[in-house]
Amino acid sequence: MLPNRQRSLMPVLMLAPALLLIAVFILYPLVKAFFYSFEQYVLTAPNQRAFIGLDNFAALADDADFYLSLKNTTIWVLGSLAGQFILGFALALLLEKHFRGRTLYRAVVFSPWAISGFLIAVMWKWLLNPQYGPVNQLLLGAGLMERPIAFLSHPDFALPSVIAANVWYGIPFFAIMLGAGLASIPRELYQAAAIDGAGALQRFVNITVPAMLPVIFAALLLRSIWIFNFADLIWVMTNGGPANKSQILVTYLFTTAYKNLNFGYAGALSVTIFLLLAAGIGAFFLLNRFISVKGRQT
Amino acid sequence: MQIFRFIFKILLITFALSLFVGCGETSNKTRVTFLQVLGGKDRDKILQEMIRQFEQANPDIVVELQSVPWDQAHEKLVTMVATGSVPDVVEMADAWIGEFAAMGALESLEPHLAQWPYREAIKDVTWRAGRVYDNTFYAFPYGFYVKALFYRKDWFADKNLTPPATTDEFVHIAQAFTEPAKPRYGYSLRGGRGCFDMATYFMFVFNGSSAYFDEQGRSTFDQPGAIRGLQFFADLYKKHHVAPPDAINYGYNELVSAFYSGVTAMYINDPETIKTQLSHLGEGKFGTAALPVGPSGRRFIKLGYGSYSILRASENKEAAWRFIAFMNSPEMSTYWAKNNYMVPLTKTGEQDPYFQQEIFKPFFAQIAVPEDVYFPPYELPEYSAFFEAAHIDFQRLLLGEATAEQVAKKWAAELTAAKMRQNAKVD
Amino acid sequence: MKRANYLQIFRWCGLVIFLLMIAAPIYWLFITAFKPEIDIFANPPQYLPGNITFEHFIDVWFGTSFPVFFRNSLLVAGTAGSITTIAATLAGYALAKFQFRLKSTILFLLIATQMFPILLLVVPLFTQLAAWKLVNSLTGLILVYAAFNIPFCVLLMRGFFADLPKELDESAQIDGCGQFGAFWRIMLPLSLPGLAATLIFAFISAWNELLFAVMLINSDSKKPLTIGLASFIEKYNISWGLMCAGAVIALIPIFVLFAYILRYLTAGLVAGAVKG
Repeated sequence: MLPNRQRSLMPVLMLAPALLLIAVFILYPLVKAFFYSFEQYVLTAPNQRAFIGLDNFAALADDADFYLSLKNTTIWVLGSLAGQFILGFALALLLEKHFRGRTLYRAVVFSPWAISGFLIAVMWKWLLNPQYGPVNQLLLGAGLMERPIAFLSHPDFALPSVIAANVWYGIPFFAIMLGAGLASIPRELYQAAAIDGAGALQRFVNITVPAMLPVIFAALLLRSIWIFNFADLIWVMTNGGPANKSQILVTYLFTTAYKNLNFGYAGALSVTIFLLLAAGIGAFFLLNRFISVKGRQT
Repeated sequence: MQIFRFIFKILLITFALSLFVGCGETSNKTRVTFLQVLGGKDRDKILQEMIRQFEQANPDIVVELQSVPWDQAHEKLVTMVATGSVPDVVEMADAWIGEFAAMGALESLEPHLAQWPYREAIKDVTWRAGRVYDNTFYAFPYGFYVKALFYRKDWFADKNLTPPATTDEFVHIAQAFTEPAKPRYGYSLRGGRGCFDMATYFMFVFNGSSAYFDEQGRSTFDQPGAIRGLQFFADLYKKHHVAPPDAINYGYNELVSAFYSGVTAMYINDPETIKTQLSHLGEGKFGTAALPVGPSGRRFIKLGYGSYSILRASENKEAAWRFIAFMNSPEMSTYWAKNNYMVPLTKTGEQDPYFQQEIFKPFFAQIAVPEDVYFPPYELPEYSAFFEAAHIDFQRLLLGEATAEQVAKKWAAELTAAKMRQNAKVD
Repeated sequence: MKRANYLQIFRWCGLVIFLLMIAAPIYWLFITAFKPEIDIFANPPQYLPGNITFEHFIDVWFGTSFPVFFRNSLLVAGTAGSITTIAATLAGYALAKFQFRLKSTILFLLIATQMFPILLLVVPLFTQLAAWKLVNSLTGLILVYAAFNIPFCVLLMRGFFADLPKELDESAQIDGCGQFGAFWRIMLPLSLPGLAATLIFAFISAWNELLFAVMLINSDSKKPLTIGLASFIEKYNISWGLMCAGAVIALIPIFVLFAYILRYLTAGLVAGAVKG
């Protein structure tokens, strides 16, 4: 057996580079930003910086724009997540069996993953333009509408439109993740079920889904945090408009920090976002445990 | 160990690449960094040419031009100032002067200016424009922006129409061009970022005054005339439908592109956009005209401008001033105005043969009447943030979620509060 | 057999629909890059390019600083991706195979770093970097990108190592490899797919990042591609042709990397995530 000393040093050495980088470039600024939230810190009044306790949070609690953004964020995260997950899963299932040209097909359908969010946003803004955008032209040409719709400027369509673009952007992520998960399910399970006379749907419900649950949960967890904090699409496509109809918490944060220059308030908003996400993820873990326990019972 | 070879290869390539990065020129020349915020490849080329001439005349200084895309410029500059790591000279947008001056970021140019040989040559408004904050010259304007009406000359000729002279005519002509099925609309209305300028225009010409505040320092925006003007502006979209349905989200870029892509017949904007229209539509297809007068019989012209500022945290202020002084010398500033399509800084600049073209005339004619010209309250530190957020209220009005009166009152209250804070600070 | 046929038809329909849905916007980006300026805004839109031109590619490569931006991006994404991968591999292994105090604290910390909005970290981080003279420096950008991608990649790699049978590790140690030898000679080669996935993830993230690039880099000679592309949106004008051509060029290195690594990739991403 190895001596104890070496045993305790090894993980420390291995963790050191990663933790050092995180501590210096993320944790340290994060702690500093955290303390903004208790300060009156408006850049245009540099001499009036002062500790004000929870005043920023109190102001946030009375902020109607905050609640509107919170509501929109909920729709944005759930809508994007559901769309990305369902379509990504479907694509993963379709790609499971080999067919000719699968590699090329994969390269094409996974390619959105490789493009920057900013470019995606600019492209979609053009595609959805009511006068010269192809989407409207095609829908008109197919006789599905009578007049063009200004998707990004309509109070009811703005948020769904950016969600649609985000779903499109996120399909490859889920297809890759879930596709590899499918590949790791042992073939024998399906064969046994087929011998027992189970149909395709039954096999999917009884074998595929339970085997995939851990992957699904991990993917949903990582992706929900990511979508929550993903502002590029909305910022470029609608700028939160019209009239805040597509404003989410991070785009609202952008306004408070970089337009109003109120870093104290922005700090309070960031801490609130952090706590909301932590609560959401806590609930998610509980749900995960509940489902896996129940899964084992049946 | 394929993957390690691969990572090793990447590291090797990157190391080789890095050898090319580090070799900047090492010299004992003073280095002035100049951040331009309205990035763009054509603009870069003009500025580089001016810098080349400056370096030729001042062999002891090198100027490094840094550009940031306009959409990210404000955040970038805020971050730089907040962290004290700033360029020496920055291109300052008019609306930001109060904000950055209040942050203590800008250096007073008064002592330098007192020695400047061309003081008599520049337009008198320059002094007011540069001294908006604390009556101190924090920003040295390099030229001016004035809004005029752009119209599709070819479409107007087809219908035998002339550009509208009054706001009433404006509605009728816009209606004449509106055919949603085509799709074609009369007017590129700006409902998104920056719509406040146009809202102000209509509020002022209906109210008959361009004063932002009355003697008590209260905003004039909730006066009945102003509310009627705002209602008129909103009705172009809501009632007359002469603007495209997506105009509610139009910013500067969209309103200009709707015109050159053949969607709208008219828009109101700066002479800078002539360049864009020329590159897309070519000559002869569009013209410019003076803005329509309101029921008050008057038009009010906002004077916008871009400036150079020296940052207080700069370590090369002397060299920075020499650079600005060169850039704003009569010859250079006129060269800049010509290439950049703006109203030149000097009194005589517009007599340049270049500016005798028909397309420039309405811009100069409008500012020839001094009592029509006004400045927004750039001195308010909150003006920039207010300006950036005003479209949200206006969009509510366009969607029918708020009335013109409610929006006007909200704006008036915010402006009055900002003004009061400013007055309290001065006293 | 009839049911199977229906399923087959259903499957092919699905594949075609997905292809159209996902490829159409990308197709649009591609053909715009090859259209002459006047055709770009043609109304009705041209779905098939009438006149194919390479002028935008020539303009963007020879008429702007694009080659410099391209080189900078390669340098930044390559180095940052490599640093991230190495650091994440070591940390992921430690978290998967060792028991020690603070382990759950570290795991919590990794997830927590993902939840605070990055936007607000810009100012404090910038102050720190300015003190170290790392503003307007590619080194600064590389370190920031590496740091910001590490938490996710550590989770990824940890899941990977956790997947490998414990017995392998133990038997290697008994054979006299030692702890490091077991990691280096046995476990690491087995986790190649994970490494590949992590590398490509970290590379793409650094390649496409815009916010920190805009904030931290001032000089034209140090700008990465993303700023170059964003600069085609000017105040009154968008150079669509140049932007699309630039975007197509920007995709090339990623596809090269993809082609090189694809065989590991699909197995890679997921196994990590399972335990992540």
